Amino acid sequence: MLRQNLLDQLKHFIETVSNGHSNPQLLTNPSLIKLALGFLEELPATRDIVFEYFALLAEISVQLYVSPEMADPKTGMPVSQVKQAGNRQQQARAPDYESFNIVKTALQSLVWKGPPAWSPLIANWSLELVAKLSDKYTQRRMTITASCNYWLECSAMHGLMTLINSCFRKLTQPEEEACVEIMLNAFHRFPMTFDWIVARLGGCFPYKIIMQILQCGIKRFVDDYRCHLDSEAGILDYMTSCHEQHLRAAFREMLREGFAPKKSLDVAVVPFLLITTNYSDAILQSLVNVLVEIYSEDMSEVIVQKSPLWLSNKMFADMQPTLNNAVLRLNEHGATLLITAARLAEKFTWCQDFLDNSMQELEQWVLNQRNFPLLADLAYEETKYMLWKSCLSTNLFEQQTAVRLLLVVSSQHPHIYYQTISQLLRKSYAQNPNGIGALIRLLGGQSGMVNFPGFTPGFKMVLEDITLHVQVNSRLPVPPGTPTEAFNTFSNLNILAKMHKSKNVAPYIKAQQLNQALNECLPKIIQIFDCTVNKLVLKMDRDAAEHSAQKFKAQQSNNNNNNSNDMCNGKEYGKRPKLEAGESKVEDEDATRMRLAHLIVDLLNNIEAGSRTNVLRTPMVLKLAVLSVKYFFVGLTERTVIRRAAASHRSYNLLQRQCSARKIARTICLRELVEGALFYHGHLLGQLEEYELDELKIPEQELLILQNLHTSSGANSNRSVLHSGIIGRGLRPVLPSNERSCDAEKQALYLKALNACCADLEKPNNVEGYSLVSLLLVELVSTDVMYNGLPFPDEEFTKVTMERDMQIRRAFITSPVLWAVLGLIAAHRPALCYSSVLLRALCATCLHHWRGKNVNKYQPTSANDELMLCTKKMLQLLAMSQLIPPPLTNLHLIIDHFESAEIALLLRECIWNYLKDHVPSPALFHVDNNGLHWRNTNTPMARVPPQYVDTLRHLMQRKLSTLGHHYHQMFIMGELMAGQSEPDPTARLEIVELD
Amino acid sequence: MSLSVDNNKAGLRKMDMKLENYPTCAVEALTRLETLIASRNKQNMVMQIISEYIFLERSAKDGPLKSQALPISQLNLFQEFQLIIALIEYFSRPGRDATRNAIFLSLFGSHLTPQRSKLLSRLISTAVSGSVAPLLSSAGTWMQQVGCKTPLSLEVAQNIVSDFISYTRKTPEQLKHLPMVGPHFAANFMVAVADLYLNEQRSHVLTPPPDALLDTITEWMTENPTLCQASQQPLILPAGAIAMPFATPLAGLLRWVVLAPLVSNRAAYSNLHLSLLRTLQQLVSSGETTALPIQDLMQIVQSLQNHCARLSESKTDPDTDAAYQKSMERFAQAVQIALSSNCITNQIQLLCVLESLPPHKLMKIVIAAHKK
Repeated sequence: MLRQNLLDQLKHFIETVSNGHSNPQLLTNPSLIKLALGFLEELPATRDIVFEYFALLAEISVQLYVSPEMADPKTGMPVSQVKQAGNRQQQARAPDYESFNIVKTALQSLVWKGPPAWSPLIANWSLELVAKLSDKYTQRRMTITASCNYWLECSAMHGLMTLINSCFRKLTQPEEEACVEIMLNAFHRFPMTFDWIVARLGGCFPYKIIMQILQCGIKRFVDDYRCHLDSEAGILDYMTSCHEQHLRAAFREMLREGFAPKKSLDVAVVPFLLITTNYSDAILQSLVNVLVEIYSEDMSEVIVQKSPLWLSNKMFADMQPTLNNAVLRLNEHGATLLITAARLAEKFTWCQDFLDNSMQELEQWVLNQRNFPLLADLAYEETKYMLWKSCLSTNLFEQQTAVRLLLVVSSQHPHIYYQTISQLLRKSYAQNPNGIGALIRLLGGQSGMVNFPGFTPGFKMVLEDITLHVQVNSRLPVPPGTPTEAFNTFSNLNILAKMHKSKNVAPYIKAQQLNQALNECLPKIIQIFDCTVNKLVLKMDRDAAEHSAQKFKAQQSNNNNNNSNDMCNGKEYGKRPKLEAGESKVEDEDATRMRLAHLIVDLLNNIEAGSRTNVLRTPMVLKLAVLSVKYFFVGLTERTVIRRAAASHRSYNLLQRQCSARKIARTICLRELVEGALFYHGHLLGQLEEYELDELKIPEQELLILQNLHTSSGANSNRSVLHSGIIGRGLRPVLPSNERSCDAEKQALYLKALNACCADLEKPNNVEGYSLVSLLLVELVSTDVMYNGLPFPDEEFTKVTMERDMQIRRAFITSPVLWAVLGLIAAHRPALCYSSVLLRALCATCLHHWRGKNVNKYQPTSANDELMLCTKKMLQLLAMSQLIPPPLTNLHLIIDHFESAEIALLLRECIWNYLKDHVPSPALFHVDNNGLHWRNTNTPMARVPPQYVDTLRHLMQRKLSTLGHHYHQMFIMGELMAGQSEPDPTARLEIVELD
Repeated sequence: MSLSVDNNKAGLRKMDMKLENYPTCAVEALTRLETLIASRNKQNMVMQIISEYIFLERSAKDGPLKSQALPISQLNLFQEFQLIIALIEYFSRPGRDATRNAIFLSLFGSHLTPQRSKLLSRLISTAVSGSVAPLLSSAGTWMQQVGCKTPLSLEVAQNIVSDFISYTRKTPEQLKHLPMVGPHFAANFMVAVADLYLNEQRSHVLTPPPDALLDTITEWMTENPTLCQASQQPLILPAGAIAMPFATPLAGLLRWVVLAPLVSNRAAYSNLHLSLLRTLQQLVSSGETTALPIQDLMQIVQSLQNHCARLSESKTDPDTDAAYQKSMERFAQAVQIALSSNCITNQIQLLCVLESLPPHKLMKIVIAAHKK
């Protein structure tokens, strides 16, 4: 009979279970479990007792789990996989341990497939059971995570949690509320042991749980502000890992109430939240995230307004110190928080206190090399950008805070330090001095830190950047007048260098270090300089070429009276305005570039680049030398006198430092200067342009040089130079010598530059440099390698070298600056001796020209005649350099009183012959006590032999009426003086003939 | 009196009725009660024995129960079930129905502690599961004596519904066969259950019964047309006891059928309606007049009026409301048959009330036919 059977089964079940407390094996018998599960369907009245039985099963399992009998002998931890891992005894207990699994599976299927009424029932039962078991068998207090790990290893607990979870998913809204209620009630009953369950299950309805927990906490807090909120905070902390959004929403809600208190409880919201943050970093982080999100100016007003409410809440007093290192525990938004506080610091002193404390603490931690979350926040990209922005702020608090933060993070992340330096250098504008202030503070580094990164890589980084920028020349449109990054950087670097030069500023930066760092970056700076200057030089050359072409065209039209040129001009004028827009931009760019070049040179001067104290590799030395000279020439193109002078002064400094430091630098500088003046940039110094051949529009087959090649065999084969015209076209166009007087100002600048290179500061009388110039001139002006020696040959021999001599003479005509250079050399005896060949050529050509005039007919020489000027200048040079003795030294003053034949005679008898006999060589001079080279011609022994002077004397005597005054000075005065002085045999110098 | 009680108690103790071996002492006590129950002047002692030896009750202060404080049972769940088994076994033994009913009524009176009522619910539920006819018959008697619509009865009914309907996937056979096993109990159970659902007086909203319950009851009604009259059978009570008036589930079920269209449109209600009408027709022969008490019918009218009030709130004409029309149709049919079979006591009052409802065609005809 089925019915009877059912009752028998019930009887059996009841008996077994009520006797089974002593013998768990009886209870875990699978058939008994099956029977109990059957009852759920067959005998619904027994539901309660069946569940009680299941609870017993779970308890048995948990008991086994925590018992030492089941512990892993090695680790001491409970064995989770008894069947596989346990020893024999443990394996024997495995069925008991696992028995609850059958129940779990059955109940779960009931929840999934059965009527909905089961879910709340099972959920409540499981919750109660879990709470009871966890409370009963927790031996010691653990953190939530540890508890979770510990209990979820237990199969019964895990099963129960799974059950609860599946039930929760099936619940309706009111049932859910009921479950939360049950959970929280259980939490109140066992706050120490139930927290992990709440945390674990809170995930099913996170917002509700979080809100409830917060409400619970605040109620407890209001009752007693010293209460411990460990469990609440633990749960929130645990849930934060997955449900931060909900926590934030809850915070937002609470803060809204806290800032606009209506209930008495609301007043405690802010203190409570602050207290809670002490328990967990994650909670703090969430709260800060919310705060940062909702923060606004208005809100700070509200806070200020409402804070007395919280302060009167006696508990607030205890919290101040804890708030201060709160910011150190932030993973995110920490920097934002500090910067925000800094912005407020002007208004509120407590902000300052907060900042001070926090920053001190922070720096202390860094000094102790402790790691803390805020560091990670500081190392974020976004934070970095924000801090950079703040560095440029006009609010000093904000700026200094940002700098300090950057310094703190720099100690751990050097790259940020470098980037910051780079950024600040590039972005601090001259009109915003805050950036530079920040930079100076930053360069000072973190005091007390060992191994703080140096700033050299920062400089290198920014220079690298700028190199790219300058080389690639960004295509981005820039509004005119904005300083480029390159300009900014160099102007900032310059300011720094200048500051530490004037010792009173910036105790932060160690002067030595800055200089050293910048000198280490010298190759980079030179690279940028190179790029900039070369572009400027190109531009200058282009301008010059255009200019001369225009000029030539104008002249040609003048010569030929060609109408077409007017049309051409008309066209050109028509075109002009169109180009202007583009041109002005280009011009602007060039002006910027020029300013940059000036800045770079300033910087180089400020850091004393190229001085002896800094080691530089030879290629760098050479490059710097070349660039310095180029800069000098570029500087000459500046528009106003003052600017030109300023630029030149800069380059003098630069040149002088290099040249006195290294010989090779001097060689290069001088060569570049001279070459530049003669060939590349002659136009700056009044050089006459030699027209290029094709400008004359000569058909190629008519080129004289080609014609001559056909007849290159004869005696005249090397005389093509002498032709002064083009066959079929007449004379060459006349060189516009009158128009282009040599620009005195520029020439002066140029000479000063030469002087800067040559002058030796340590030995002021060292003429080595000038001699070098002299030799260079010979090399560059004289076209021949032969007969470049010092001695003057017989006058007859000049015929052999006449062509070369005329070339040299022409060089003097086209490059008037040569005169000036020779003058400079002449002043530094005996350097001019080395240019003997040039003097010889001048002398020879003049002689011949004067003689040639003599042959034809009488021509009165005009004052500005080229021949006369040349002769005068030559005589002046000779006199200045003491190559000719006293009476002859005045010859240049009276030469224009003579006729051409007389001049020729004088040149031959007095000058040429004298020089032929007294070879212009350094040996003529002796060195006096001051190291000066000097030639004492006043002594009787050094007196000029009469054969060189008599011609002059006679000629002058014939013109005493006009030259009497001079005659007196030249001859009579000299003799009177000689008569007075004693002859000095040692003053007589040997004349050495040089090959 | 008290002396004799003590004597009797002493006698019980002597007879190895130790509280320690629990179920045995309860069984022993039950057999002792059989004899005691006959004598009418030993009621106090009966109660004491029941409390002490069967339910293991102590007063809250652990003293002898004198004060008003509710006694607390010492039974744990397992002992409760031991008692349930013992009771079932006891009631299954052959014996006089009157004695059994008397003992049942003594065990579970009309005022019970929550623990006892809980145990009663479990006992009846177990009896249903085990189809224990004698116990169910006693339970039926108890229900009628206590009153089918009293909270106790309703609790028992509710418990059976949740046990056999809410917590099961399909309705168990035991419940389906309940009218055969315990018709009296089944009829009283129906009265109670009918009161639980679709009752505005109870819950302010019309809660339809669970589908499985409706199906079960419809099946009962269709297969056992006489089930409603089961409660009319005379009760077998001990001498001197007064039988309480019986109640039929007809009125409650009629309320279900009439109000159902307002909240549900299950076909099962139509079936139930049909079997209800049939039952009403059959009542003609028996000539019973109290099958449909006027109070119950007024309750239906009240609910319908509430519904109309809600309709007018939402500006709906009752004529266009299909649910209302259907309700009125069923109501009119039932009223017509009930009137013709003379089941309604206060006919005139009913007709007046029905007229106050928004007019309905069929109802009008019915009223017109009976007003003459």
